[in-house]
Amino acid sequence: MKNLFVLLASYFMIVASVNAQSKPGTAKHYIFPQVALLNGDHSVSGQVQLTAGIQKKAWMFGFGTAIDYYKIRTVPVFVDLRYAFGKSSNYFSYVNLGTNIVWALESQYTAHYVIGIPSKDKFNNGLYTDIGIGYAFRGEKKTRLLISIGYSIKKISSNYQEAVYREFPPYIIEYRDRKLDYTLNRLVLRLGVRL
Amino acid sequence: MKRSLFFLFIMGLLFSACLKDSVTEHYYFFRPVYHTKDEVRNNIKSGAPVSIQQTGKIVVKDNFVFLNEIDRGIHVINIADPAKPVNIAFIEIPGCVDIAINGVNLYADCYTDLVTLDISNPAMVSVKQFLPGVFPQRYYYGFTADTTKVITEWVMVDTVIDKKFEGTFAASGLLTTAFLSGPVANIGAQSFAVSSSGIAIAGSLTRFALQNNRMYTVSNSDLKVFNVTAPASPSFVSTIALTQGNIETIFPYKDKLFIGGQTGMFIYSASNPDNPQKEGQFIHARNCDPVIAEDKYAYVTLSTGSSCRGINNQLDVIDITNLNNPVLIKSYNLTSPRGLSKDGNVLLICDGKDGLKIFNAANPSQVSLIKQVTGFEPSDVICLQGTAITVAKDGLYFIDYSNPNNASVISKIQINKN
Repeated sequence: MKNLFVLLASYFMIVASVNAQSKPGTAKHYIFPQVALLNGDHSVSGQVQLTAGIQKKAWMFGFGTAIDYYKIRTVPVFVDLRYAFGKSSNYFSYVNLGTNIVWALESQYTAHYVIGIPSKDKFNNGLYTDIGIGYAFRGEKKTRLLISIGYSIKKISSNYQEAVYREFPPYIIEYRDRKLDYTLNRLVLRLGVRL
Repeated sequence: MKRSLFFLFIMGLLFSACLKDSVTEHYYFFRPVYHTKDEVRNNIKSGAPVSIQQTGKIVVKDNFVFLNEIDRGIHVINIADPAKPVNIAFIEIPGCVDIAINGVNLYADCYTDLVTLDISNPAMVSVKQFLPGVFPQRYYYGFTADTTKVITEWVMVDTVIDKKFEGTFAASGLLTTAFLSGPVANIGAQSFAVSSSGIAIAGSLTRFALQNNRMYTVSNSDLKVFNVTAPASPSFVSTIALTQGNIETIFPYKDKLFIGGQTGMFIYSASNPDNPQKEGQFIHARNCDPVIAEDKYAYVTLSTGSSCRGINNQLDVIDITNLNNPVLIKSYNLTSPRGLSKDGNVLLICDGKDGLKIFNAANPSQVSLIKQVTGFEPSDVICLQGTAITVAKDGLYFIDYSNPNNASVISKIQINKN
């Protein structure tokens, strides 16, 4: 996880640096720091996100990452594709597609006691998608205030082992693997700025 | 356009409550397969050999090992050449966990019934008699005994279910902690037993013992007496309550019955074979404790098996000269002892992951280790003229101990878990 953060931070720093040096007429670079309200099934949570990439005419392509607290903390890492449209290209639609890297809080693990020996769930990464539409308010200089609404799916899975007493011969305790595939659906209300 | 977007926001907020999270759970469970008793009885016969999946109790008769496959039946293994044992047949007996052999007659439990088989030709056995309902305690936990049907096997079923997931991870209720329930199998700790009449050699987990034309069986809390004067048609005689409870093994020696329980060794006199009476006891801390006896001494292994909740792993040598007052001579520390067997001065003990330990027991107060045969986890052993037939987790091992200093594995029949 630490290496991932270093890698992503390096990426965003490079993009920011290139953006500052870009000349008029060439492909623009963008960085979107954003926060989101995630509204789902019996749960409301938040997400902070950073997306960066290049813009060629109406199309934007980049990479992003976030910290997503909906039900279980994850770090989505995704490809960001956007298309600006409408008068003055103030409207945009976006698609994020990537993977959730599970970074669960200690309290989000369930303790299993197998013959008195505590063990934890083993979480596995899963799909991350977010699709939506938004509007960019013009601010001072090149700054834009972005507001968007989207629908996001977060998938993860977990494995754990349970000790089950066979209530029939040979009357042994055996260890059974259980797997749980979670599909978490959220409405995403996002607010951000374009730097 | 801005209005449309605003409208979209409002609608999104309103309909977000319609979003549902879900979880797909993958697991497996076992489903019982039922047959009528008549179907079961008609199906008891020697069939083609099948792979061993779960070793149970063991009896040796002539050149054959009869190895119980718990609740499924009995494997017949030809050991004319112990270096090349051959699995020759499988006798399907649902609900079978205990066996005893009397001449050409094999007694086995079939759930609540006692079945007698003619094994004069082990490759072609035949049913001689059924005694119904003599083991009423044989039921499945969580399953009500059905008087007309029995469970012949359990089939593993892979399952996938979809559920709503409204909770959070910390308190989802889906990732439930697995609790253990019920007693754990007492498949491990036991000794071997040589019946006084030289009928056959039984393995340590047996709850069946033959002595003086009687067969004695123990359950958790009682002792049953069967008259086997007519070997092919045993008759039920009586039930004697064993109020000590948690009884595990029985070992016949001379006219005594040494009964191993989790709280002690209990000595019953069978001078009146139809009505054995308690004569003495040796109480110890709660442990699993197979027991064997020879002359003035009894040998008891205590282990901390998961069902036993004990704290000791040791061999106790007990002076039984005065049956009314058995006296501990000495305890020897072991790792996880289970079945044991004695051949003259040689004492063999299954000691869990430490393998089979061979001791010099010429002097009961100075039992010393001669050799340790490792690489397997034995639970039960039978001595047979220099060959130890050892039941282990991963198979049936044949160990040559004719020279105890050079004891080694000479052959093995592998368990096939699939």
